[in-house]
Amino acid sequence: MGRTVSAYVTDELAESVALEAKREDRSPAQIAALALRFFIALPRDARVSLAALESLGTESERRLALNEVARALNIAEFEMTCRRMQGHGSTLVSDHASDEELDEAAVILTRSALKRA
Amino acid sequence: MRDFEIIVHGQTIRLCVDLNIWVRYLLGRRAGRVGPSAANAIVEAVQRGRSPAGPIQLIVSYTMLARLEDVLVRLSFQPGDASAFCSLMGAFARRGPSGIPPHMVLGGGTSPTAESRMLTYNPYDPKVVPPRADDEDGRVLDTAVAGQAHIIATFNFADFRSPNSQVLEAGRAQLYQAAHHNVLILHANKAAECLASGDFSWPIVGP
Repeated sequence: MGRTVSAYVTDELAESVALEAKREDRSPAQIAALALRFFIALPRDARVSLAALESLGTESERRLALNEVARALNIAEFEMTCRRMQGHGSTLVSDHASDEELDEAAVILTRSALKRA
Repeated sequence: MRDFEIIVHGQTIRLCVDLNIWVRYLLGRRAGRVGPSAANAIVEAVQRGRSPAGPIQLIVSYTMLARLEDVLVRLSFQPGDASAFCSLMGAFARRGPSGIPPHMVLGGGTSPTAESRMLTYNPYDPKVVPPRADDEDGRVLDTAVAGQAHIIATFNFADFRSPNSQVLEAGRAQLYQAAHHNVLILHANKAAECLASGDFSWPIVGP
């Protein structure tokens, strides 16, 4: 069972939530729940920093901080993607290949795949 | 003999990463090579947007991303993973210190490289068809020039030799000179060394 949590937001934010919800084929409530889960999952000190940034930071400081958060999420997804990819392309190169052989294989495989494209 | 410095220490380095480095990164991971390697160092610098030499801005184009996705699928990686991998490369470019999204490079292929230069043939002999230009390197080079990259890092150093390039260090460093922009083409091992040391200077011989 879930509960309803209500919050007051500006018209502008409400419109942004509605638009993003539509774009991602979710309800505005689902977007709000996702945002809350993310916020609550942050360590307390990070939430304090976020509040300080919101109230005291400049626009460019806020943008920089959000960029770093986005980068951290991108890196996490990249790591996950690479981990999944490790299980594929299994016959490409021997597991015992030296570093130099891997360098050479990368050039040959890239070139031959491009030629077939 | 004196030195000339191509990139001033601490400035944002605009780095164009050849497709074979991404492929090498994945091959290394598959082989369980998580330790230091040139490909790992370059990919990590791109991910973090920084290196000991200074901030790193990835320069990439939609053409390069589309080609890499094609290459990865042809190398038996899952299409969904290949697409996510390339889309994240675009994200790393946008998240970079200068926030440069992937470029849309139109035309291109105008920079002949060792591989793409047409061989001599007899135009009066209908049996001889001119070889199709290989534009793999051309697209990377075009992107680097269009995006005003300081460096192209590649494992395929030899194929970037052209009449417009000047060798700075045999097999490891050459300077490609376009009309309005020069690009340093570095072998991946040399690129990783330079990013670690911040030393981008080469000796000039002569007056």
